[in-house]
Amino acid sequence: MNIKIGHFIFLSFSVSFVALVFFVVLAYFFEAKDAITIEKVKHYETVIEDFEYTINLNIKEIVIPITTIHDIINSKESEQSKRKQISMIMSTAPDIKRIVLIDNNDNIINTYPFSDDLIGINLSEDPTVKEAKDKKHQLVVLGPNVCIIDKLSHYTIPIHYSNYLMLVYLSMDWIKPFIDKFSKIGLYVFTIDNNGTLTTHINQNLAEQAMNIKNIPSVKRAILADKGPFVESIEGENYFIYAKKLEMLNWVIFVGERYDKAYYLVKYIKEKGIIIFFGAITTCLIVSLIISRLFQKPVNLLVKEINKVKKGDYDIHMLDRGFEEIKTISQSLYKMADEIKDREYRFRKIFEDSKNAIILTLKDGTIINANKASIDLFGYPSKDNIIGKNIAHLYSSQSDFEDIISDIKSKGHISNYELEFLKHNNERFHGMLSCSVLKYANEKDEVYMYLIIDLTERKKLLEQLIQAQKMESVGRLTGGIAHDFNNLLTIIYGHAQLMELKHKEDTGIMKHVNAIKKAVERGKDFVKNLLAFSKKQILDLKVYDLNEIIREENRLLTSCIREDILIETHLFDKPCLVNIDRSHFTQILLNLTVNAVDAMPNGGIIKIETKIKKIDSYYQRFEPLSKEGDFVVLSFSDTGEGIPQEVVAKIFDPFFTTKENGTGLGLSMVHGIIAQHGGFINVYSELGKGTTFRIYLPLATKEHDEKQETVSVELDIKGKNALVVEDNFELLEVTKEMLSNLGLNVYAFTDGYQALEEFRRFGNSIDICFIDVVMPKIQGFSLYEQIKEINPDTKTIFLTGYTDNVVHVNFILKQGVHVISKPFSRQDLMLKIKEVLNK
Amino acid sequence: MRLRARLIIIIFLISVVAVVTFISFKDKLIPSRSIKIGLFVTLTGVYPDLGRQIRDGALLAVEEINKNKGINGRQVDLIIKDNRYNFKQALENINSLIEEGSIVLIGPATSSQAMNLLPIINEKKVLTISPSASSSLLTGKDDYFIRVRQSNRDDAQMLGSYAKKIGINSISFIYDNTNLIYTNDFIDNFISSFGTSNTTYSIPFDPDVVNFKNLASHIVSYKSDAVLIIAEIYSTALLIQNLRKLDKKVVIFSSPWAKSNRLIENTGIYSEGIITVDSVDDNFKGDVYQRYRKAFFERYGYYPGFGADTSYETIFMIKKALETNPDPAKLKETIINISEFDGLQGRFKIDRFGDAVRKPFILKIENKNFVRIDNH
Repeated sequence: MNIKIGHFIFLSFSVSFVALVFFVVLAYFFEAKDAITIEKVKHYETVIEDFEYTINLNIKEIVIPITTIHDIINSKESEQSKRKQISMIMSTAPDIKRIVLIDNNDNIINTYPFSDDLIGINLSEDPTVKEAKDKKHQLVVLGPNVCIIDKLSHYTIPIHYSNYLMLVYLSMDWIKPFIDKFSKIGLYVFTIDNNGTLTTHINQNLAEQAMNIKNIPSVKRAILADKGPFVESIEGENYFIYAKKLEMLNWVIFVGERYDKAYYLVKYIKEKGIIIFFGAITTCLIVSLIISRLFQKPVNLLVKEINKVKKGDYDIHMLDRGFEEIKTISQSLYKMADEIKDREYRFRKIFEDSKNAIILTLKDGTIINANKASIDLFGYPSKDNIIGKNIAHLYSSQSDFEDIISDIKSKGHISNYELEFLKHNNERFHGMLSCSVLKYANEKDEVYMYLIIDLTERKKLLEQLIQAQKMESVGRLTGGIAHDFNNLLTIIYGHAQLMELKHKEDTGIMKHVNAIKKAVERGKDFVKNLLAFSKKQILDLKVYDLNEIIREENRLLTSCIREDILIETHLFDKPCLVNIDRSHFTQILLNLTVNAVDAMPNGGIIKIETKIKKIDSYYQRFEPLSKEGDFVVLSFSDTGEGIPQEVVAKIFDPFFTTKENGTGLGLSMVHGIIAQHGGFINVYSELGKGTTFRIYLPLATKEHDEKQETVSVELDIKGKNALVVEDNFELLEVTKEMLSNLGLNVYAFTDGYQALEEFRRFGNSIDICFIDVVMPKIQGFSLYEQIKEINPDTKTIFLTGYTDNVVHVNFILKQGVHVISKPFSRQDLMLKIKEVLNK
Repeated sequence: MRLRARLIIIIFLISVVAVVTFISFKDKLIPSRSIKIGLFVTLTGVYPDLGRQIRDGALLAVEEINKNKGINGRQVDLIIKDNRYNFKQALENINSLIEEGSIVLIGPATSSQAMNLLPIINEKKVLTISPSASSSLLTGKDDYFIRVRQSNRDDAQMLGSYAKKIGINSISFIYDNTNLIYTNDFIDNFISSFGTSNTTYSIPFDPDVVNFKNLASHIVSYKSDAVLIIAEIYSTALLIQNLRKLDKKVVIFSSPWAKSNRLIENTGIYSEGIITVDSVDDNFKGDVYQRYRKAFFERYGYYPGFGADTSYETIFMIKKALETNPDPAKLKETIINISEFDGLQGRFKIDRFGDAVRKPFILKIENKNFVRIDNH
């Protein structure tokens, strides 16, 4: 049962006050009643005593002449004389109505006044006579009985004499004045005989009619000697009466008053008590209302403040007046609201600021709340536009919605469902959906919380990653092909040169040799491009200001474009230092320019832009191939036709081309070169607007000293001892012959360990070593280090067509060791030998 | 606290107070719904006994009825008026009882008063039932007067037949000439069954002036086989005593007017053998009657006479009629329609003229008791 404090206080105070007043009045009522009862009984007893005394006195006075009459009767005077004397006496005693003498046989022997028809009348069955015989020795008044003589009702005093019984018939009218006297002083008095018949009454008629009132309970009890007091209803009125037996008359007298009169004070209290009771109730109600308000008002204020908190309004007021307990509660509420506010703020912040879309719905899918990310994700103008909608509208397929609802109902939640969603503008996108059901204790309905993660970027990144992995795989493949092809070219080229030396004068042979050489040159370019794409070419890295390079290459690029195309450069105002192979970078610019020209058949603008940008972990999320750090960004844009989206994904694939005569290696080579430089490239293209390539190269710290070492080629190398280690026998043979042809004494080995063994024996006589970088038993660099241990002055040139580990080669280069790339010409070989031996 | 809740509490408290107040003053607030029955008989003055018996019998019946949920759930209020053996007073009482709302009146006790009041009763159209008036002059009339006691005709003819049966050839009628309506009627009916061929002597007397000794001497002088005294108890008793002093064997018949225990009390040793007639046997063993007789004695200290018996029956007759049809205006028709009622000693009938039909029987005082002759 829920009871409000105000109700409780009002009710308890009202009931308590009313009960208090009621009991006080009641107690006073009973107290007064008891006191009145005692006082009244005392008063009635006094009245009865006086009355009885008076009655007895009167009766005794009445019977005084009887003795004289008796004497006269017994005198010897004549009967006539006796009657005369007795008549005279009776005339002086008006209450004596008749005197009857009866003998022992109950026969009337004489009567005064005399009546002869009564003489001899037998009264043996007369009730008065019978009763008189029972009360021989006491003075009593019997009756009233109707007397046979005059058929009137009389009281009788029987007096027993030796020779007769004298019955003195009396009138009791003399009692009336006493009764009237009682009546005058406001007392209610009546007497009854033993049968309950009224003998006297303030309404004398009732007594005269011999009204029997034995039906009144108190009368019945009084006959049995119960004095009372009684409260009795007589003739419709309530009386307070007290009873006592009057011995001489054999009556019972009742004295009392109307109850209202006797208990006037009680009645007054009763009447006034009701007024007091009403007054008290009114006062109680008012006081209770005031008190309940005293309690209820602050409680109401507290409830009001609590409701404010409930509605999310935490700006509540602390009560500073009233009861201490209420103030304490108010303070606690204030603190609690503050904490809730803080907590709510945090949760709201989490909800609102979440980068993932969070949407709350009812069970039927009606959206009841959505965070900012969801508004943004689904492209709604505001929260109001999405709230109230059904979440089904956010799915691209209605069946998805139904399946999801079914899964939620069966499992209670769902996790990481990849679905297609529909934006406000009907654009579709992929997202990952999770949902859990929130059940609040005080909410009837369940609330579904949907978490939607936008997979657009992730899918894009994944595609990029796959692309990168694909490029890496293709790179490896092309690297392997290039290696073997390079060795073959080296052999062909070597033999071609040897044939040239031997048949210089034979124009017929020379014609074929030159054709072979040209083919090998084209093959070299092809391999070079392959290596560039597969990032397996040897880089000659130096630090350059990219801005300077672009300025310098601008002329070159301008010569490559048509007249309807304009090149704009927007260069960063600070040096953009990069560690690059200048020639490769030039190649990149040329490739991009050629592509841009092809993309702008109707002319346009090529815009080249540089700037420095910091790549952090956040950026990395969108560019998985990027690295943290400072990068120089070269943007290369055209205003051409743009590249279709499906083409963009394949643009860096080797051999992929949209041109009729394209090799499909241009952009793949650009991609490989940049990657080999530790950078990355991305492309943004919009059909009809143009394409932008952004090249990111790590920012370098110092500028390269461009001072070139001058190499003298005049050195005589003839007679020098050379050790050649090459695992490819054909290549070893051609290299050996080419070196021999240059005048060197060549010791050639296919096995690195055999070569090392030979070097141990003749190390001091070896002037220069030619070591293949990649060998099966012992790696070229390891062999080089062991040779260096044997003879630190030994000069070494590494032969390399490509390397699996460009970094390794670059390390070799940093050690000051020289490298010659396969396929090399006799001239290249001679220059490199001279360069090394000159150092 | 909301206003509504406070209002409910205030209304509740006020209701409690109102209920308490109502209960306290219920009697004053709700007017009495009791059924008022008026009773007018002589209760004071000369010879009040019959009236008092009628009053006491009616009062006992009312008390019993009220103790048992009243009539149709309503209490009965018996309003008692004293006629003081006075026509004018009786008239006043009738008016007063009508004014006080009595739906039916009980009274008067004697046939003479009844005869005098009958025109007034019919004029007032107030149903009046007499438990004791029995003059056959009152019978056979479709009026507002119902008699519960059988008529003189039945009593007197029964007594006459009996006198004839026991071989009485001559009889002296000693009768109170202050109630000639009754006494003459009784004599006429007695003779009708006793036979006109027998010798009869009519000796009227005035009870206020008569000398019973002389009257007895006068009666004895006729030397009739029997004496029929038609007077009230005390005159009858004095006359019997004086007669018996002169002639102990004189056969004495008494009209039912004096049939009461008071007659035995006042005739002393001379009561034996007095023959009378009545429809009530004091020795009747039926439960209803014995219970009533016992209750009556306990209540009043004396045994009931015929006046008390018939007035008691009258009240129960009214009860039954009102239970059959509560409309007081139809009371007379209802009583006549019901016709048969339970009496103290069996059923009795009210005929279409409102006259009681009961079969009286002969009673004789033996050993200070009225004993039914046909019981022997």
